[in-house]
Amino acid sequence: MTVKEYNNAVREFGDHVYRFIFRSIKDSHRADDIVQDTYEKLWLCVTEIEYGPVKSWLFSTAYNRMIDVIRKDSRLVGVEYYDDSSLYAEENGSDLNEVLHRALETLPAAQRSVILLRDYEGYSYKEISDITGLSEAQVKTYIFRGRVALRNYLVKTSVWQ
Amino acid sequence: MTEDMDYPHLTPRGDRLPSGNKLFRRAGELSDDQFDLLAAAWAGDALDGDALAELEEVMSANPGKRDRAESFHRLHLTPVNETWPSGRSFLRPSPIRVAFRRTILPALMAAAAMMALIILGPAGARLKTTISTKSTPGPVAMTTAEIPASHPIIAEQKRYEPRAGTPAGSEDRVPADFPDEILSAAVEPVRAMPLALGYGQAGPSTVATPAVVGISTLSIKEISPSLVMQEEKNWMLRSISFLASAVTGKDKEIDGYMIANGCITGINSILGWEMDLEQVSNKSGEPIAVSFSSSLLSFTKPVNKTTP
Repeated sequence: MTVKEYNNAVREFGDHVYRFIFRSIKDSHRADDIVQDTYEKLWLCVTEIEYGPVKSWLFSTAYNRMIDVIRKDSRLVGVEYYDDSSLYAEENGSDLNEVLHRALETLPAAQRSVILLRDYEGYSYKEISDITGLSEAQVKTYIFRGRVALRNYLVKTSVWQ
Repeated sequence: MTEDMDYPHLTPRGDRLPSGNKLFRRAGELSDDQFDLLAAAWAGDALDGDALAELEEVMSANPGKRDRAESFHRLHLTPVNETWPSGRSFLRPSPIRVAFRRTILPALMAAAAMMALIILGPAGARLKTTISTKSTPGPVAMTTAEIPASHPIIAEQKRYEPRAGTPAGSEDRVPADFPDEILSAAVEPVRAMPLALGYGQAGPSTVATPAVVGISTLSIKEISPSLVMQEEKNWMLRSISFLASAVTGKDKEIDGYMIANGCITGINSILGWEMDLEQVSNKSGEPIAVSFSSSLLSFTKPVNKTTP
């Protein structure tokens, strides 16, 4: 990959990778750090990577880095517990997309990530499997369960009857 | 017989599950959660074959189930406009730009700094001194070269002397309407002489008499080299001031110290050096000296106030 192609990768995919990580962990500073680490890694091996699969490479590297960060944080501060009652507070007059994003935050990290890859980037189940390292069947299960959970959230918050 | 004894194995009998028939289920008997999971797969185009046929059968039998399944199509997240804050800083400059920034730009800035230091520093002061001692308000003299009488030019002039009385028809014919005073003046030696332009105190001299038409004394006393130099410096500083005001939008006069200080700051920021240029002022705020210090060289130079 040339310097020009690297810069194209920054311009074309930087926002996409950041959006994916930010929505997955809901922390802008950490998301920024993770994406910076990812591009730093890309720059270090810029001559070894072709431009074609660079988008998948970026998502895969950022995803793995995010998993490392989540594991490290959970070791430091313990597992985060949610209060179910606050999760299903009634949604009033919000845009469906906004409500869905709030509902997304209630999902486990693995389900959240695969749904984001599917919806935001339009990756196939196979591509998501390659990026996350999960089997294709696992990816499908996470996505379908996540969808059911999203639907249940909308019903419980009275957005859908 | 021998083989059966060597490798004995059990053969299953025809035992049957007594309640087997009760365990069969139809698609319509799926619970809501099970149906939702299938519906989510259907909305995600992940169902095919028998599974798809069964779900279609359930949905066709129950319109409410179809609506429920189709609601999963609306559960699609759309990206919000979120941009990576550090994106721009991760763009890498092209090698040509890097080379320009690392070599040519510092070289140009160093050259500019050198020029400013020369103008402000000892060399500039010397230049000023040289100009001021040699440039006096008096006229510029033209020094005539001493030519011996035996020189061919003189000899030739002497040969021309009797020409005034030369009768018409000779090669050096003089027109009849030629003025008499010129002809009389032509008796004096008029010749081309090598000249040297000097800056002395002597008055202007002529190489030919003023009476000769077309030849007049050349007076260049108005031209003062020191003024020319001063004008050039002012012109440069005015240009830099104009450019600076065009870029910053503020009218601020630029002097040599500001140029030198700017160059040194630029070099420090690019190369990481620690050079320092300070202006020392007296109590009334007038600059009296410039102090330069670096790890290799330090000096203090009084400010030449006549330098712009």
